[in-house]
Amino acid sequence: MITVRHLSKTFLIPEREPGWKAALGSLVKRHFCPVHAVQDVNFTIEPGEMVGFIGPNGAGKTTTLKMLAGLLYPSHGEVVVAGYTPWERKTAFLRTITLVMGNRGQLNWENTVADSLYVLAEIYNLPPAQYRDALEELVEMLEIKEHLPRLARNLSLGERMKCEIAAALLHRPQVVFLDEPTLGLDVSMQIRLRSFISEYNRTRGATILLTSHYMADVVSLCRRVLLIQNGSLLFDGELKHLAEKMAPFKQVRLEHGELIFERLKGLLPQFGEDITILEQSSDRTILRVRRSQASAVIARLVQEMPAVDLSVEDPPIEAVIDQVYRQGVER
Amino acid sequence: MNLRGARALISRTWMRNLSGWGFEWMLAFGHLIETLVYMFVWVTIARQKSLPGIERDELVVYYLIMMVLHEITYPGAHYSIGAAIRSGGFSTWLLRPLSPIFSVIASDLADKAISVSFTLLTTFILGLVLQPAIHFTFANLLLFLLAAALAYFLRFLQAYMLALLAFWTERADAFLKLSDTLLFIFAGQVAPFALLPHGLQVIAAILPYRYMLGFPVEVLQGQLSPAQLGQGFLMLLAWIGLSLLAHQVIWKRGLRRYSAVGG
Repeated sequence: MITVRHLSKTFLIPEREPGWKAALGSLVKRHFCPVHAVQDVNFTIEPGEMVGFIGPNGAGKTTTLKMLAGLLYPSHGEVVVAGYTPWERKTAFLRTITLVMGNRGQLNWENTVADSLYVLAEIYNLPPAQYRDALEELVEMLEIKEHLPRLARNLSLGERMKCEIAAALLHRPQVVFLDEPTLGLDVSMQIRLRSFISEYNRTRGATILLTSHYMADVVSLCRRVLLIQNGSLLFDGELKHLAEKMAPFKQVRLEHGELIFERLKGLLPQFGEDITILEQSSDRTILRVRRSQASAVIARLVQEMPAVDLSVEDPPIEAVIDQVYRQGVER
Repeated sequence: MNLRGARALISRTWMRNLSGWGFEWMLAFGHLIETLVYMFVWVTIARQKSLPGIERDELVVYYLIMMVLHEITYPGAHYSIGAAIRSGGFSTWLLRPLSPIFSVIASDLADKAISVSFTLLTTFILGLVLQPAIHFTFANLLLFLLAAALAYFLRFLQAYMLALLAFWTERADAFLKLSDTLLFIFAGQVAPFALLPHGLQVIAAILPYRYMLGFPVEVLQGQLSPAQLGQGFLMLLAWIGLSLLAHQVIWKRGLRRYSAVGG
């Protein structure tokens, strides 16, 4: 359904030094700095798949989504979405997709939600019966009946987001790009929205590409994730393998008594930078151990303290993501 | 063309703007006051000395019709396009299977439905007070309607084209302002074409502005010979053709530059 080959996007951003001299100089000649927002990204997504697209701020997620939705021309590369080249913006393509961006919506703030939805139904040329069915379904699933007669600007953030989702899905698109759909929503609203997205994917067989900074969104909705950083794709695979492949460390948990605790205090500094103590008390110690040194560290711990109850695990997904975002990937 | 979508967009934008009639009337007042001032200036001059080829009543009618035509053709909605491009709001229009120009048309028509009603009412009252002698022929009226429709199209298209320069520059509004200023000088607002100095007449005959405003009014008043009429309509069509071509180029290249900020 989505094929991306060698996709790159470079923006030329105007730059100047601080001060009057540079300000006056920029009147004559402006300096532009190339920013490589997306670099040689490749992936394919099958029909009906729901994929999480994650990465730190400024990694290139939204830029990629905008190229897939036809809003941006790439600097290089090929994209095919549902058989179309997005930036040609053919009518049939625009009827097939939707893009939901947190703060950019299809609702007209000065009109009622019902009027905005009606205009969209007409723009997408929906037959009256299909419009009624789609509206009924979305109103029920998203619980927005009482919002329909209200002006969009009078709705709360969460209410408006649900109405924006309804507006984006009214024409029942087969390809859905969701950019931070739960941003700023309370926990209860996030859960309901996730449940709706999952239901839409299941019942409509839609292909969904979702970006979110809330790992809970990705964990609960997507089996597969794409991890992007500095414009390059670092990982494409099942979420459960992300920690295994990407985490530069393992987490070692030691359950012990008072005596071992004292011995550990003497032993652990000998490992130097290979370990980090995440948590330590008289009966439990949790260590972060460099993946490359994990075997050696564990072997020594077992040898020195055979009575200790030791378990090795991949760190929680949030910790892996945090580590990758902050320090990159240790290859 | 997606007429169904365009119709719905226009009708609902109209509905939305009804609540803002006070704002639209104030804008319309601002627009007509400029023309009104020049009408009184020229009427006062006409009272003191005779003007070549134009009577006091003709001046009054000329400016009253110009007030209405100026309001009908004024591209007010175009000022929001630059902001939409800069802020990334333009993305919303691009995602729909309907050309973004319809969003501008919808806003323009919705604004006009309210503001023109104010101008018509004011013009009617001014007509009653000033009581100028009015002479139109049916043929001239038909030609006026054609010229006015083409003038609306040309002014809309040129303003849209200038607004799209926001793809390249952050302050494309300045081009719209410049265009308004040139229109004020060359379109027959500051003085009817016949009263402009010769040098300005030559420039005004070449530039598009006269054909956006002064020319249709001259057509209605029967001030033009058949040759001048033909030449005027040809200029109108030529400027429309040029603007359409320029619009195509700007649109295609502009979309390539669009950076869809935000999101």
